[in-house]
Amino acid sequence: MNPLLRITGSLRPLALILILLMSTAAVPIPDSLGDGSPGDEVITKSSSNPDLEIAKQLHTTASELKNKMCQTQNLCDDSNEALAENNLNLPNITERDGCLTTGFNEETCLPRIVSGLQEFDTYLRYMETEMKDNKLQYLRMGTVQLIHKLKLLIKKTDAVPTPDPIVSKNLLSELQSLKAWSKNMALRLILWHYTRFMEGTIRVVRFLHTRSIAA
Amino acid sequence: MLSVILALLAVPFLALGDQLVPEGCPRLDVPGDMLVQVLGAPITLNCLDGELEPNGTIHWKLDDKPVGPQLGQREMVGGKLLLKSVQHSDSGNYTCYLDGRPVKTLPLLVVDPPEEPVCSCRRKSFISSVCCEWSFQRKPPPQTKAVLLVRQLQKEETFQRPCQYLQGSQKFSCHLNLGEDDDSLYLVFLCVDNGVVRKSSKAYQFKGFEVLQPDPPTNITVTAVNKSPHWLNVTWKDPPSWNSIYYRLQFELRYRAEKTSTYTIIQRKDRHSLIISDALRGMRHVVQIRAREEFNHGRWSEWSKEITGTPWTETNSFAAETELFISTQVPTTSDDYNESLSRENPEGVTNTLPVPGSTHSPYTFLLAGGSLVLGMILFIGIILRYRKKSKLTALKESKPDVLPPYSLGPLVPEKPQSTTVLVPFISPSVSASSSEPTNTPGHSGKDIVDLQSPYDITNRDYFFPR
Repeated sequence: MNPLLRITGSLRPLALILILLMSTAAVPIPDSLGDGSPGDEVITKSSSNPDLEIAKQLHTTASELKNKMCQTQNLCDDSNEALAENNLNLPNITERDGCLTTGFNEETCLPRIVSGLQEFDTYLRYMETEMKDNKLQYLRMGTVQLIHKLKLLIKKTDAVPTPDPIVSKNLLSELQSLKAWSKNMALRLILWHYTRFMEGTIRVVRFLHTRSIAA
Repeated sequence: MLSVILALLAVPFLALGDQLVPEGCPRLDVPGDMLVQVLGAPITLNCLDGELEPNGTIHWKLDDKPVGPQLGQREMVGGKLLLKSVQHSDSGNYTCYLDGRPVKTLPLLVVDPPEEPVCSCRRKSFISSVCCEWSFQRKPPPQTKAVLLVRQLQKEETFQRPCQYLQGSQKFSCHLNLGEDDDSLYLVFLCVDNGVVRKSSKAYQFKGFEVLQPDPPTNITVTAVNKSPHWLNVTWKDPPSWNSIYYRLQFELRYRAEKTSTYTIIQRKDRHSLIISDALRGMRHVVQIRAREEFNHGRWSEWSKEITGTPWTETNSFAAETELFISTQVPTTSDDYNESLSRENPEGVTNTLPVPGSTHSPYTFLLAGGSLVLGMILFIGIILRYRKKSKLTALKESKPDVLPPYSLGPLVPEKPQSTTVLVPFISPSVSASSSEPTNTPGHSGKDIVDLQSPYDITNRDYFFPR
């Protein structure tokens, strides 16, 4: 149904005239008149949690990049061996961090997420130089923004370790030395782990948000 | 790394031989007081322990009926009864007598050869265990036992998990607990032992997240929305087995008018309600919903059972009223849903009963007024168009016949008059419609607002498309 058709009350006759005028005015008929996407008009209010929105966008962007890599270079998630073995030591969220439902602990989890995101920064920089895709710049900048916002939620500010510039520099040069297959595999692994990490981040941020609403 | 590859290479070998029982598929502890033999195989029943020769006459009875030798079937050698090829009718309690005194009773059970188990695994949520099941075709003998042999490929660990026989659903079911973040690779075999023969399923390989398959959503309601003959309000809940607000589901809803067979599908992330806004007037619709983990881990659930609902109709106001009454009884789920609905349609679900008599008037008026206005506009349009065309042809005979609508403007001196009449009508409608909280993703509003194409009724394309 065209939303225009739902103008109610005394405006109805006027609305109808206008609709008739417009539809005779050779304006392309909106898709939503037909079978477009019914029901969407009801959902107007997005989640009122900006941190969550950033995390969701970062996740979507990373997934898109991952899919693109799968399509263009045939590097997809389904080969287990390559993912099973790597020495990249990429951050991930585990039960020990207090980030899962069993033994959830905000005080250990949030610093872990922030430090994990900080660790990704070097990897994202590497990807940005290697892949030449604008989305990667967005990914890195967005991650920095998310780090900043999540840091505000942490009560004990000293709980987040400050990244060591020498370590990142060494890591970056190590990554830049990768060639051909190893390079592609590294790019894929970084994206794969980043996507997984962002899934965990979304769950945690959302959980904290719903918990704070309920409280 | 090497071990993982080796393990993966091993899979086809193990899967190949369905007769081969993988190493580690244990011989199960089946009750030993009963003799079990598979159909068609031979068995020897021994009356006396060891190789003792009887110092008297031995005879056998099967469930109190005397059993004698039978050519090619049964032989009696010393204290032994040899059955060459056991049949189901050979099952029973064999008692041997020495000089008329009973010595011992041997219960014999003849069983069918076991069917090869087929193992399938599934995890209903991140926080529940993986359940591997085998639904058998033929009921196995009661003493049959099963066990799940598990190999964790990355850690190179092998262990077993017991399986239960579920009488009601006629299957064996085995549970494997995984950590909620465990997405590692597993290889499982379901081993069955019916007391005589062991069989193993083919290898079933999975990753921890891959076997996620939630149950279908529950508590689905499909209700009419007052005064909206094309709307159906659908709400649902997570399946109880999902049991988490930390992990979330995405949903897919499909619906069709009961008389048609093609479905329309709508995706919905992390919400438990939606409005179908293109339902067919007065028709009963069938709605089904399925669920999947929000980040596409694992598989879609089965479709839920079919729930039907009919949109509001003014003719059948009784039915509409009952449905609306029901709809108010069912608590709608999320707050933002209610907010947006009430903002958009103040006479919506919250209005339990339509005001008597008021149902007809707006529509009748709308219809009559609409056709009148349409007629008038068409009439004015045609008049203006022909007046203008006659002037145009007189003035600009050298101009090309076909002109884009917007290029007409500067050429025609009369045009400002017609636009000044129309613009004030159009612009408020644009702002009114775009300020409506409708969120049809922008396109309708954008097209209307497009100032590059003012609605010039002198454009004959409106009436006579090329």
